[in-house]
Amino acid sequence: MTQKDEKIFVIDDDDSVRRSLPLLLKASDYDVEIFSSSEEFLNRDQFNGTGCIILDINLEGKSGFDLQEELTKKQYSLPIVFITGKGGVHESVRALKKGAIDFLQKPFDDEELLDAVEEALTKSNEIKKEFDQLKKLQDLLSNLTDRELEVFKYVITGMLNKQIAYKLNIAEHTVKLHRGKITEKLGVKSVAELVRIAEKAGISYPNQ
Amino acid sequence: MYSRLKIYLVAIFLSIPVFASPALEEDETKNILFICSMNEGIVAYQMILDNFKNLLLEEYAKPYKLFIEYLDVGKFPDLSYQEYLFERFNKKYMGADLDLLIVIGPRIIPIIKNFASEHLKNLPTISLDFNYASDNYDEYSLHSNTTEILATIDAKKNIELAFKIFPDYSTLYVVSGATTLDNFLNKVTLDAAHELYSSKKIVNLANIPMETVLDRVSQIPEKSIIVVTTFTADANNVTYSTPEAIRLISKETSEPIFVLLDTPFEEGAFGGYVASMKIVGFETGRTAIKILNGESPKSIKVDPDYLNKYIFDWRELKKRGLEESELIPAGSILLHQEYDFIDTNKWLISGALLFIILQTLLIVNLVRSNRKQIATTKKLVKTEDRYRELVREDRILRMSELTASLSHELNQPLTAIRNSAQAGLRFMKTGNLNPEMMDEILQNIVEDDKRASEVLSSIRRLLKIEKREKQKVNLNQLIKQVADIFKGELKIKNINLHLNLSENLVYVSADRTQIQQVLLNFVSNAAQAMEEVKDDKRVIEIFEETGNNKVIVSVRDYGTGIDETIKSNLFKPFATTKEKGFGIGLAISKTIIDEHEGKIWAENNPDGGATFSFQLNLWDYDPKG
Repeated sequence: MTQKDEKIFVIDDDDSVRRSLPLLLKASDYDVEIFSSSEEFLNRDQFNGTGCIILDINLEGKSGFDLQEELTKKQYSLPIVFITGKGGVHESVRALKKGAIDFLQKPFDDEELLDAVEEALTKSNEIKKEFDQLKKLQDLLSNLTDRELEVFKYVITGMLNKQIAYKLNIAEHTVKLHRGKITEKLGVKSVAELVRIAEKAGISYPNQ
Repeated sequence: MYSRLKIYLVAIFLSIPVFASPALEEDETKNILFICSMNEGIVAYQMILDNFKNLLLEEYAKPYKLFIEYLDVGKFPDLSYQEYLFERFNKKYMGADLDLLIVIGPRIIPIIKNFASEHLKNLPTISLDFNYASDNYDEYSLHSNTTEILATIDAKKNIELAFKIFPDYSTLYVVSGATTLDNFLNKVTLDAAHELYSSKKIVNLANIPMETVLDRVSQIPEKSIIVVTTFTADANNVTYSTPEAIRLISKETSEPIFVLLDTPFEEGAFGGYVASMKIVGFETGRTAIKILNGESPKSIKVDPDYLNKYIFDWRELKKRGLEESELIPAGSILLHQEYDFIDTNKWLISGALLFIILQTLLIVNLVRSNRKQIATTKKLVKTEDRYRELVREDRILRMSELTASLSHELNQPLTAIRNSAQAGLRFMKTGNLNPEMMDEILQNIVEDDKRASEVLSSIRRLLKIEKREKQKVNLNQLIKQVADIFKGELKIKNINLHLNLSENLVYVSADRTQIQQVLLNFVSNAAQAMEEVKDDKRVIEIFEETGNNKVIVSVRDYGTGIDETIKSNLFKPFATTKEKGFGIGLAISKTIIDEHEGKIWAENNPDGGATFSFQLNLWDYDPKG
């Protein structure tokens, strides 16, 4: 079996759990990093790959909930699997509402944990794919000159070259040239594709 | 060669007394006379003197004595009075071995010249005064043996500063007292203001009674700057000090008050480019040390610029959001910043104080309630209700606390053990279980198992710690109390409690609350066991048998009976079939009864339900004897 290139972050302040839980994950060939507090995890360089966090709720210092909130603020998109020694229904509802994958009561079974981890990783993968796609689009779009971007914004509204030329107060021929450049740089052929790109990248239409 | 050396040595010895005698003299106490022209209520004098003394304390190791005289010429300007004063001083200090004369103005030199004795006049002198450059006053030196320390009142710079910080303020009020000194500084300030800002409105409040000043100040419109120069007396010849005046003025207005001296900073002054009396005090001290160490006063120069500083009251800055402002000149001295720390953190501090107070109250309360508990034990009959409540709460609290912490403490090692073991199983399945890994896993399990059993033994220790003094306890009374405690609850649950106690008094040697706890536990178990039982059979009986110097107390119910699967472990911790609870009550009961050298047991009744019993030795019975 090959090492998976995903990473699992375990954050728990209990020595025993910190020793044993990673073993269980390693037995299933996961790459694991261990932290004893929220603060320690926050000190780590931001991880942008696929992965998830297994997070104890009752941590000393910043609690698991605090960390969840802080990571959301930082747009840290790693899914979280909560574990707890005592938490009640109320707590679990709160965690799940805020986007946690699962909420496991200690002691939990390996199946329970590994299922949750798999689910978290799948989600992380989706998030990452979406993110990568968006980034790629943005990279492509950043290749456009300011003028090209302007023309692009009009093109996706369905305007004809003539109209755009009038709007921007340039020659129709110039608009044509820009259009050619745009489709070349973005590697697309149709206006429909351009519209899709604009939607994904969140580019707004100019007011007409 | 040898004889030459001898001659040198002799020469050295001979010369020692010559150099040594002045050195000896210098070690003697130095006497310093201060003469101040005004009275001792002038705050500037006290600041100068305090800082003078502080500096000598730090930098002058030898002993010295201070003599301080005040002429009070502000209130008593009569020349004959001054002459009279100096007749006294001249006599007083005639025989005194004075080393240094320090005179502090305003305008004191002419008085000294006129009236002081030659003895005083010829002393090395430090002369402190304001620089009256614009007022044709040039008598700053007593003689060539004088060091002058002249503080400049820089009204111009002060006003410039004021309008730099508050550029859109349109009016300037100049407030001064009515004495010569006040008038002089008032004029200096007004002149500077007119010269600088012909476009601003300038209002002079000087030479009027204090009441009028305060009345006018209270009507000062917003966006005005107030400069208070000095205020040593008002037009009615009532004496004030400048700080005092500023305190009164600052109560009437919230506009910023600029000052010329650093004396009034306790009282609501905003700040200013000021002549610092603190620094004057320090410089006077430094100069005095030089002179006492033999330097000539004439050769010592004190740079007047050094005596002026930008000083602000940090609290005032903060009030106006200026504490970080770039308009405040770099290097300004900010006063009361520390004080303000307390101010800004007052919620925190008062919170902490409140916490401490509450804690103290809590402790006092705990001590008190502890005493109360003892007291109630003694006066049982009178306060039975309260006692009942206390005992009950205490037991329930202790149990639920224990259960909560137990479950958490046990959950961690349990999780770890399961994780490790399941990791092992997985490694084995994939064929990756090498000896090192196996070692690590088994080590982990052993460690965590030890941790779990430590948790359990700590409970046992906890119970053992509670070993308390045993007393002569009236067992029947104790049982009745327990019955009383349960009265309400049993009524709600529709359970009848029958007591069948010995008619004689039964005394045991026991810890009252612990035995009570055992009995509470029995009754509460019995009640729980009967939750499913039909109404007419909901009965609990407590009965007592004595004999053989022992007493047996039994609690019988008509409930579900003891589950056969746990019967053998009934008195071990965590053996329970109950949904709620942790199965620790009977274990605690056993520990308690063991502690009392008694016995505890339980049986299912042939006609349904169970009977729980304990046996104790009677009072005065020694099983060994």
